[in-house]
Amino acid sequence: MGYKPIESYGVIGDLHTVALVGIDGSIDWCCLPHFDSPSVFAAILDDQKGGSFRIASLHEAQHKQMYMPDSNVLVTRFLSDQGVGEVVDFMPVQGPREIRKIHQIVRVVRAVRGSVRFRLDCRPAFDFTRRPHRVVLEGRGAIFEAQGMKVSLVSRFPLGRQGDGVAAEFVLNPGETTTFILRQVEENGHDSLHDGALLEARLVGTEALTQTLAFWRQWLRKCNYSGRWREMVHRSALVLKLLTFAPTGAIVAAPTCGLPEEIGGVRNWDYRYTWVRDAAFTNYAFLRLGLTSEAEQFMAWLEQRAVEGARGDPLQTMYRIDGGHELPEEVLGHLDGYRGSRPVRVGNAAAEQLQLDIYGELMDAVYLYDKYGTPTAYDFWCHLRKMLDWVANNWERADDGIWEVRGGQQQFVYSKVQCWVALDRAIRLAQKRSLPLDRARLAAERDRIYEAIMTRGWNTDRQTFVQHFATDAVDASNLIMPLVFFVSPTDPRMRGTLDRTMAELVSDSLVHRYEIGRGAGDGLTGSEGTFNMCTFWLVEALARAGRAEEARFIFEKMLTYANHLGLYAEETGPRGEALGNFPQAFTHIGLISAAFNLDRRLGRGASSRVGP
Amino acid sequence: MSAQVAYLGTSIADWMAELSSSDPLQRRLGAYALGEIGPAAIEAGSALAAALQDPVGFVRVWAAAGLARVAPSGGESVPVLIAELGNELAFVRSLAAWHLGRLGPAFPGIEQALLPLRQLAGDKDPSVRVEAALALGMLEEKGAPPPELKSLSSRASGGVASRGFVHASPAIL
Repeated sequence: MGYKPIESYGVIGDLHTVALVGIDGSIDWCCLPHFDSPSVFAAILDDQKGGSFRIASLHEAQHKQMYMPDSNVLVTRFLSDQGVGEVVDFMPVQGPREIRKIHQIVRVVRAVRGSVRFRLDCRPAFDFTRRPHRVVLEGRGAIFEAQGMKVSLVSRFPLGRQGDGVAAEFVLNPGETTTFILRQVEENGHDSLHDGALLEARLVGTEALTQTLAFWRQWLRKCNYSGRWREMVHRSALVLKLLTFAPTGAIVAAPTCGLPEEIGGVRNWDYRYTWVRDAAFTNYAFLRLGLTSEAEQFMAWLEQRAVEGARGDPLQTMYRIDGGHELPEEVLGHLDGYRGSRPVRVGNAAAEQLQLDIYGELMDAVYLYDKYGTPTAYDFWCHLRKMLDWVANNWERADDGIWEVRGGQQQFVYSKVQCWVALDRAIRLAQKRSLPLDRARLAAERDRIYEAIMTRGWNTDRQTFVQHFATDAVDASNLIMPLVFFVSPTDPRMRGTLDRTMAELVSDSLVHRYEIGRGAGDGLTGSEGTFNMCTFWLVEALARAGRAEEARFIFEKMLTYANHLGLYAEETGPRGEALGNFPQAFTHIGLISAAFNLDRRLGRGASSRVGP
Repeated sequence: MSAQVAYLGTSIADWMAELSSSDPLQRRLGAYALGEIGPAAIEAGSALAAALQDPVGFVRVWAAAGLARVAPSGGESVPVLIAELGNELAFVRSLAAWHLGRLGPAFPGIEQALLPLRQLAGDKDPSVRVEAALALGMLEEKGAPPPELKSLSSRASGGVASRGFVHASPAIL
């Protein structure tokens, strides 16, 4: 079968999980029922045995892919001399009051011009191929049953058994439509292909399509962004919403695991969890766009975590989407890995790391939600105060840093900056809302952090802020300093840092997060691509420093690295290829924030002149 | 695309053998596969014709559809499909209506199906009613836009919104 480029996928989802749909019509990734559940299709991690669900034209065809406007309904098109066929893929979104939780991938297949011959191949492989299954053919489709897992496929065309999967070929006449529905009913829910609702998948599917389109369009209508690059900002918002786990409001960093930061490399992580950092930034992005209900849901999730943190232990770096704390890391040695990129890991050992920056990101999210959403409640504030007390007592500790290096703890500057943010936002919030706080103590600690960064985090010889107190290496994470108002964007120290970062970490406008082999060792071999979030931070830092045209050129260039649907992975490789888990929240957050701030700085009717 | 002499990698002879299976689902699959192979499976014509007498309704429907593709001029398929419009099982009636629509307006003898399809407008099962309407659309309005959209448009305007969703315009495709 072979591996497709990471950027050749689109994504659909139902706010519980997602599926990646290749431009060739193959669903190569889906975990059911939730983001962090075991896989049902995982051909992106093993093209031979990982499992996939493909529907494609049998004619020699050009492939195109697009989203239905303002939605997460994906259309994969097959264009040939004989005709034009389409597969419309989506996952219906259930309302919160639905008791019977059903997860469905609906695939509406159409012949748009001419008669089109299609082939369907559905071969699930449960639990990353570890659980064997049996196939039962029924009158209305097929059932795939493994221990503890079952999915059904509804088809009007008879399905033939092919190994441990099923297949069918069929011809659709011009204008004709047929629908396939792959579905799973969550445990305790009885599922049967004799269910009356499945009598005519074509009709059920078409109605579900209408409803799903309406859902996404109604949701996007709440977005109030009207600046430049609106289409890209909207797509990013739609991606972030897809990464939201509706039952708890948690947000996954990305819906995949094991997609490599270097082809053939070892940096292959499981991102199907909620990082406090990423989720707090996502919250910021939602608020920026006026999407306050998402922020509200996430704040409820965050409040629970803050309550846990107030018991005396620091917050975990990340949690399961249901709020669970256990994320044991496991290597799936039996999988090939994307293009041989091994090991494939599930779970994430970084959950046990100490990453001090998360308190800053959390407090910034609280501050912003208080400003744009709902005033902070007293009980929540009491929990936050205990957590802030912990920050004030512990900010001087070494930690593992934002990049989750596995080569030992350091005094990371970014972590200190975010500890400063935590205390600073608390003081501001207390002032604004007249909330009780030991202001004097926190202000004193905040200022101590500031001085520590300015003395030990600054390298006079190189005129730059450094990665950690014991190195002269630069780190792109320091680009955030003016974004969080730690330092003025035009402060000579920030200007120097900007110039040094551009000289040492930027390649063709794209930003590496750090120089591997210099600064903190990340404990791994090999290399990685440029880090998309950092490129957007560079755009913002330049824009805020008064270098708006330069920022705009880099931003516009960065837009060309999105895939054909406007989606980004975590990183971009030297040939412009997507690397790392996909699509990644961090990148889309960066895009929204950079677009918002750059647009503001360019002003209304600004010059269209673009150049470095 | 050249005519194929196998379906899913299985030969005509093997699919013909499936028509004799004790499992009606396998008989159905055999009939469908032979239909997909089309005129190149003409040697299976008599076996498919025999399957029109299968004791299971949905097998008869698929055998008729398969035979229509293997031997379109034979004229045996349409009467069988029309007869199955009166099957006691709703899903068989719906299936037969669907297949009649798929045969298209140029298929020999298809005009005999128009009246029985119209009569299904009063069927007690909604999927049969809709499928019959769609088939009529296919047979009476050659070249028209996808008829199910029109059908759903009228259903949507009738207010089938549920679970808090609001219907979008049916002009979505």
